[in-house]
Amino acid sequence: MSGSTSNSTHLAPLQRELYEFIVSELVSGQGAGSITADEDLIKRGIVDSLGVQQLVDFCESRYGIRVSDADLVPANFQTLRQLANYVERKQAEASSSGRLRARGR
Amino acid sequence: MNTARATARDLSVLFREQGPKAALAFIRDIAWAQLYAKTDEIVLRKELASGEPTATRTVRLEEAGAHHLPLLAEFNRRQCNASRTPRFATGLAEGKRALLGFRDGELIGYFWWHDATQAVDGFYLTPFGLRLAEDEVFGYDLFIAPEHRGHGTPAEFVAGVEAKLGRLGYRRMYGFVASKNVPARWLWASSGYEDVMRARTRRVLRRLMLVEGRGWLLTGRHGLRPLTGQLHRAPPSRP
Repeated sequence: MSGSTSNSTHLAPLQRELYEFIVSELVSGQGAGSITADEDLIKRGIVDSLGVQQLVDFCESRYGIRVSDADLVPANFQTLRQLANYVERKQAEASSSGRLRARGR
Repeated sequence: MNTARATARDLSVLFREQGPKAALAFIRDIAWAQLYAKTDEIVLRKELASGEPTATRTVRLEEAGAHHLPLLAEFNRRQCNASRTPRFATGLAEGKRALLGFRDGELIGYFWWHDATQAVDGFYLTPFGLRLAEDEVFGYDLFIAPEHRGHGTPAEFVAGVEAKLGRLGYRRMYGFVASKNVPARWLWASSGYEDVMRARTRRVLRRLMLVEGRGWLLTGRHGLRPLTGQLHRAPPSRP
């Protein structure tokens, strides 16, 4: 993990957290330190069919979101930036629907 | 080996390797499937590239033939799936086609497909209102051995399949994936497949099928009869 620190300092906080997870759980071997916010995680073989399950489980448990069937597309998981944007969007959706529910009571 | 013997063999292997709990779960699943089965799948589609396809790096593809059956039987036995072998033998005898993936000479998986000339598409696609055109194929059974999943191998196998089908002149491929199977959904989505529709089915006593609220009766191996209408066997849409 320590080898990745210099790269992760250029990332936004949420991106950095996702980066740390990816580096510790999904990346095997060397080269992890060079993942940038816009690097294609699919092309690099980091988010493959097995890795995506771990990533979904992590996002759901860590950020309290639910990754629906329709969300499982490259547009949401292709880069760290897209993944972080997706998580933020889902969190915003969850909190706004929570507010609506509370208002309806 | 017939299906009953193959199933018994799978059961004994499961019992030996994973214990009585796994064997009991296997029996329960088989018994329950005779009564009721529920699936929630996504129909997928991709336009196949018409240009020169890229060669796969480490996965080699071979068209399945009768001479592969002993190898497939051994492969299926290792996966506790010996009951598939008789189906493969029947499928090949009926002219259905499969592509086998090899890595370093070892069989890693297979992919079954058919085009509009085979009546079997009546079984899979008719209830969903889809008819294959002449240059379309339907892929219906992709399996990669668990030890070869990850590291891009399944994606490379799929790319190889597409290249092969493209060379055969097909321009579009349809397939199914279980909506809750995240790794498989990701494999197709990251390979460029788009969702066409959701396909929720209920099957009662193996013969009665409910698809999105409409009833179908399964007649024989390939036929489908709408519960309100004529026998429908989805003839190929030839000009």
